[in-house]
Formats: sequence, structure tokens, C-alpha cells
Amino acid sequence: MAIHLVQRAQAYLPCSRARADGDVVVLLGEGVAAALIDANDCYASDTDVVARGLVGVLPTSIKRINDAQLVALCVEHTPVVTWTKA
Amino acid sequence: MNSKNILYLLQQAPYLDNRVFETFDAVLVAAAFDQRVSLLFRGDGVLQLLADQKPEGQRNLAKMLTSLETYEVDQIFADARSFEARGLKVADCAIAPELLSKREIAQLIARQDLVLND
Amino acid sequence: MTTPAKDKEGYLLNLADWSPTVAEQIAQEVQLELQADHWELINLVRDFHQRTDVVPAMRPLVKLVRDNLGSDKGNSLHLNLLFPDGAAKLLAKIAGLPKPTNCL
Repeated sequence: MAIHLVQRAQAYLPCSRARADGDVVVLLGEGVAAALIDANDCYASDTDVVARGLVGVLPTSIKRINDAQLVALCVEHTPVVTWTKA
Repeated sequence: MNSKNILYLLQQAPYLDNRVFETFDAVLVAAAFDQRVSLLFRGDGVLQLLADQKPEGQRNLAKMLTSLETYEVDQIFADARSFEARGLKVADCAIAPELLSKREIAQLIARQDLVLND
Repeated sequence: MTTPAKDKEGYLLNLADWSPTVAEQIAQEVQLELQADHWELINLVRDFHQRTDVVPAMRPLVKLVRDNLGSDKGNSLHLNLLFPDGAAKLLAKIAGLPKPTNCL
């Protein structure tokens, strides 16, 4: 199973098309902006969510994870796929 | 100096790079030079308005927005559809924008001498 | 006492280095002796920066002072008498803040 790291909000759609059942998607950095519109069944970096003031407006389908949990997910999944482009 | 109607379209989510800050500083300069500045937040740019931002080691955009009143920038607008699509409310914001429909946005743009994109 | 690091225009590099003593040192460099009227403005502009992460340029500074201390003080004449040769910049410098946002 793959882990997809979405680093730009504009990269969420192409990522979601490439996502297979059982793959994990994590929103990072500016990518957390995708949490409010397109994204569902995703993780989001807690640091980036807090920095942007999104705590109170995040949909419940998005689970916040800390850096240690992110590292653990990356270790458990192969390949690690990074998404930055629309 | 001639005073012009200038509208800034703010469409980027914050904290990707310095771009949002550079645009904000440009807004302050225009206002300090007596231009009639309006702001329209749309798309992911509406995230710039959120009240609860806590960036580490850099300027806090939510705090910076509260300086606009002192710069006499009081024409703050946002795209109602961008708010709706993200489940956001005016109450989530550091400063309260007036939400505009597509038609009202067209009217706002028609009133300007200059429209700048971020 | 060591003097804190400054940029080449004389603004403190590290905001945390500021103290009232540092303010007096910076003021002395331009032959300015800080009185109550100066401190009132220093505290006002520091508070504004604390709240907004913005250092006001001249026009908004006048409005800030007018809104908080009245129009007797909220005018460029009063500000330039207290902080000569560019009140917004000199006030920011003495208050230990960065250069006013895009003060040209």
C-alpha cells in the first residue's frame, strides 16, 4: 500500500485519482487547504492545521496526526508518493 | 498624488512562501499613499482570513489583518461561494468580510481603476 | 553594557534585545532625550506591533496616535517635533521594531 503526501492543495485532485483502495493520503503544508473542499478520508499534519487556524473548521473526516505518527505511516507504507503539482 | 480605486484579488492560501506577505505589504503601501484600496478574498485565499492562525517563527497574518483599520482599509470582501464550498463562516474570521455573490463581484470589479492579482 | 546587534540602518536585528535603556541609547545617538511624550508614543507603537505584526508608516501612525491620544497629538507636526527627520522611522528604531512596512 502506498502513502501519498500532498504538499499543495492543487495537487489533491490528481492524487485522489491515482489513489488505490487502502492507500493512505496525508495533507502537509499548504496542502492542508484541500481539507476544506475536496479531501475526505485523509490525514492532515497537526502542525500545519494549527498554524493556519483550521482546527475549528476541519471536517471530521480528516484526522490530525503529529510528526511521529507521520513518520510511522511512512515506514509502514511503500511507496511514498509526493504530490506538489496540479 | 492621484487617488485611484485599487482592488487586490487575494487567492492564495497563506504560509506556502512569502508571496501572501509581499501582497499584504503592497496593500499597506498603497493605503499609506492615499489610494482607495479594496480587498477581495476568493478561492483558497479565504483561508488568509481565519482568526485562529498560529504560525511559528513568522508573521501572523490574522494579526496583520487587524492593522487594516488603522490603514483605513475598510472595503474587505470575500466570495460567498468560496466560503460556502469550504464550510466557512464570517464568524471564523479575524476581520469580518462582506460576502459577495458572483454578480456583486462583477460590480465591484467594474468600479475599479486597477485590479491586481496576487 | 554591550550594545545589541543592529542592521546597517540602525534597527535592532533581534526584537527581544530591546529595553528602555536600549531605547535611550538609540535616542542619544541622534541627540534625542526621551521625555514622557516620547514614551507615550514608543509604548503605543510597540503595543500596535505586538497586536498586528505591523510597524506603521507615517499616515497610519498619525491615525493610530489620533485614535488613541487625541488630535492634539495625532498630527504629523507633533510627531515630527518629537521624532525629527521622519517620525515613523525614528520612532520604530527607538521602539526596537523593524523599519516601517515599505517606508520608502
